[in-house]
Amino acid sequence: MKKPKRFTFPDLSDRIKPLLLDWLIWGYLAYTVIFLLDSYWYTQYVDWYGSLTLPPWGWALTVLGTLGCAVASERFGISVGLKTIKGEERSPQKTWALTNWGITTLVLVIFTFWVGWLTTDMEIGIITRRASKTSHLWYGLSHPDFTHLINIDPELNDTILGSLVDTLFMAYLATVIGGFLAAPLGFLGARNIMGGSPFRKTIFYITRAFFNVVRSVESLLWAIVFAIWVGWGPAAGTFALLIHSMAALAKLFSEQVESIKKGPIEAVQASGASFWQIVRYGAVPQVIPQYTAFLLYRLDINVRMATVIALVGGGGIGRFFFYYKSQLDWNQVGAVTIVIATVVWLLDYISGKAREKIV
Amino acid sequence: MNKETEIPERSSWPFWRNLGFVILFAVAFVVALNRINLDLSLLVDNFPSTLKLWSAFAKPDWSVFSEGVILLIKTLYMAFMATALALPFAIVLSFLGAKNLMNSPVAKAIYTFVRGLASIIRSIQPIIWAIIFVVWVRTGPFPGVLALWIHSVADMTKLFSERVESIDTGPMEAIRATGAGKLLVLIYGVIPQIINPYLSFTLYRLDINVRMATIIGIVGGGGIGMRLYSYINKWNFPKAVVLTMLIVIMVWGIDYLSSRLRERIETGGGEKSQEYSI
Repeated sequence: MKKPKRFTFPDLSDRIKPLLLDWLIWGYLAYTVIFLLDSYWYTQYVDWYGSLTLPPWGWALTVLGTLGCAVASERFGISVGLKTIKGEERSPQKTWALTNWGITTLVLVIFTFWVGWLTTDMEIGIITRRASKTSHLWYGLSHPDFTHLINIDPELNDTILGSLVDTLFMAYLATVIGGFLAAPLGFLGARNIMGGSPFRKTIFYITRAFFNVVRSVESLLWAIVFAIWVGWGPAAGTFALLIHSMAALAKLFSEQVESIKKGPIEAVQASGASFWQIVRYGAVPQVIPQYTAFLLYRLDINVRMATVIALVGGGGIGRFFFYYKSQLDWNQVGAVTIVIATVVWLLDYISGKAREKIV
Repeated sequence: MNKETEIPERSSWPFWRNLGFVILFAVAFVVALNRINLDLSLLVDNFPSTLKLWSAFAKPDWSVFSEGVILLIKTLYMAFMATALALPFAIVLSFLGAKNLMNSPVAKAIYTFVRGLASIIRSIQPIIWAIIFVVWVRTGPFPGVLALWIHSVADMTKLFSERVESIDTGPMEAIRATGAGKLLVLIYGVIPQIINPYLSFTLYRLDINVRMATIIGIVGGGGIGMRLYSYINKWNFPKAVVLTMLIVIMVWGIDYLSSRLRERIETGGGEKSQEYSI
C-alpha cells in the first residue's frame, strides 16, 4: 500500500537549506575575524583607539554582508551548502584539499584553532616555567603511602579498600537498576514501534526528549542535585549514576530496537500474534545480546565516574582522593590514584573481553 | 582453539553456568543495596529539601544568559582545542601502538610501552588530571584543555591502534610486492583503510570532550562548569538553572551533529540503513 504523499515545499527547502548553511559558515568566519581583530587590536594598545568595538550598525552590516557572501558563493558555484545538501559528486581528479569542501574545512579549522588558542589562554611556556612547582606532586605520586589501604583513616572513618568496594557497588547498582528501568523506556523511544498513531508518536517524542535532556546533564551535576536531595554519601552518587545510566541506556536500547530485522517479526506476525506478543517473541530476542554488551559498557563508564563522584558529595573512593588532595598529602593521593587506575583498568579489560564474547 | 572450528556441544553446562551468574549477580545486588543504603523512601521523605531547586525552574534568572552564552562558546573551544591538539599525537602513537605494524623486538618494546602508558592515562579520569594541571599551571581554561588533551590522546591512541590492528593485510601486501618501502606501504596500504574510522572516532571524542568540558570547571578547569558550580555553592539556583539549560542545549546539539556526521562517514555518504516499523 502506498502512503499518500505529504505536501512539501521541495523547491523552497532545497534552496533555503544550502543558503542557511552557507550563511552559517560565512557568519562564523566573520565572528572569528571580528574576535581576532578585537583581541589583537586591544593587545596592541593603539593609543588613539582602545579596542575595536563594532558600532550598532556594524552588526547589521555583518549579518547582511555574510548573507551577501552566501548568495554570491552560490551564484559563482563555490557554495559548500549546495554541495552538502544536494550531495553533488566531486570530480575524482581533484585532490580533496582543493575542493570547496576541503578549502572551507581547512579555513574554518585554522580560524577556530586560532580563536580557540586565544580564548582558552593557551600558554605553552607556563608548563616548563612552573614545572618546578609540581616536583613535590610527582615525588608524592611516585612514593605512594598505602597506610590507609586496610587501616581505618579516623578522619574519613573508612579504609581505602572499603570505599573501593562502595565505589564498585555504586556503579553496579546504578547499572543494574538503570538498565532495568531503561528497557521498557527504550521500547517507548523506538521510532518503529511507536510510529503508528499520533498518540504513540507523541509518547515517542516525549520519551526521546526526556532521554536527551537527562543524558546531556553529566552525572557529576546530577550528583549535586541528589546530594542536596538525599544528603552526602554513596546513595546520592548511586542515584546520580542511575538516572544518567537509565537515560543513556534507554537511548542506545531504542536505537537497537530501531535496527531490528524484519524476518522474525513477520514470522511472529503471521502466526496471528498480538502487539505485545510481537514485541516479546519477535523483537526482544534480537536485542538481548547487544543490550548485555551495552550494560557491560555502561558498568565500565559508571565505575570510572564513581571514582570521582565524591567531588560533589557522591561517596566512594574519591572521598579519599579529594580529602588527601585538600590536605596536600600527595603520598596518600598517589596511593589512591594507583588503586583507582588499577581497578578502572581491570574493569575496562574485563568488560572489553566480555563484550567481545557476547557480540 | 579457533572459534570456527569449535564444535558446539549440547550439554547442561551453559544452563548451570548462567544460573551461577544469575545467583552471583543477585547476591551482589542485595549486598550492594544493604551497603549503599539505597533507600527510595529517602527520595520521598527528603523531597522538601529540593523544593528550592525545583522552584528555580519556574522562575529562572535570565540575567546570566548572555554571559552564559559566552562561557558556553569558551567551553566549546576548550573541547575543540583538546581534540585538535590530541589528534596529531594520537595518530603518530596509534601506529606505534599497533601490534601488526610493530614486529621487531625493539618495536615490540615500543608497542608495549605506548599501549601500557595509554591504558594507565586512560584509567584516570579527566577531572583528576585537571586537578594535577591546576596545581601545575594554575586555574583557568588552560589546565582544563590540558586535562582533556592528555585523556583524549590516550583514549584515541587506544581506539586508533585497535583499528589499525584490524586492517585488511591484502592492500598492504600488494603495495609491498611492488617493492615499496615501509613509509609507502603505510601511506598507500594502511592510511586509506583507516581515514574514515579515524575521523569518526575523532568526532566521537569531540562529543565526549564537550560533555567533560562542562564539568571540568568544578575543579578549576575553566568553562561554564566553573561558574555553574559557584552559583550552586551560593545556592543561587535561578542562575544555575539558566546555565544548566544552556549546557543541555549545547550537549544535545553537539551529540546530534556528531552522530549524524559519523553516520554519514560510516555509510560513505549513502542513505540510512533500512528501518522496519511494526
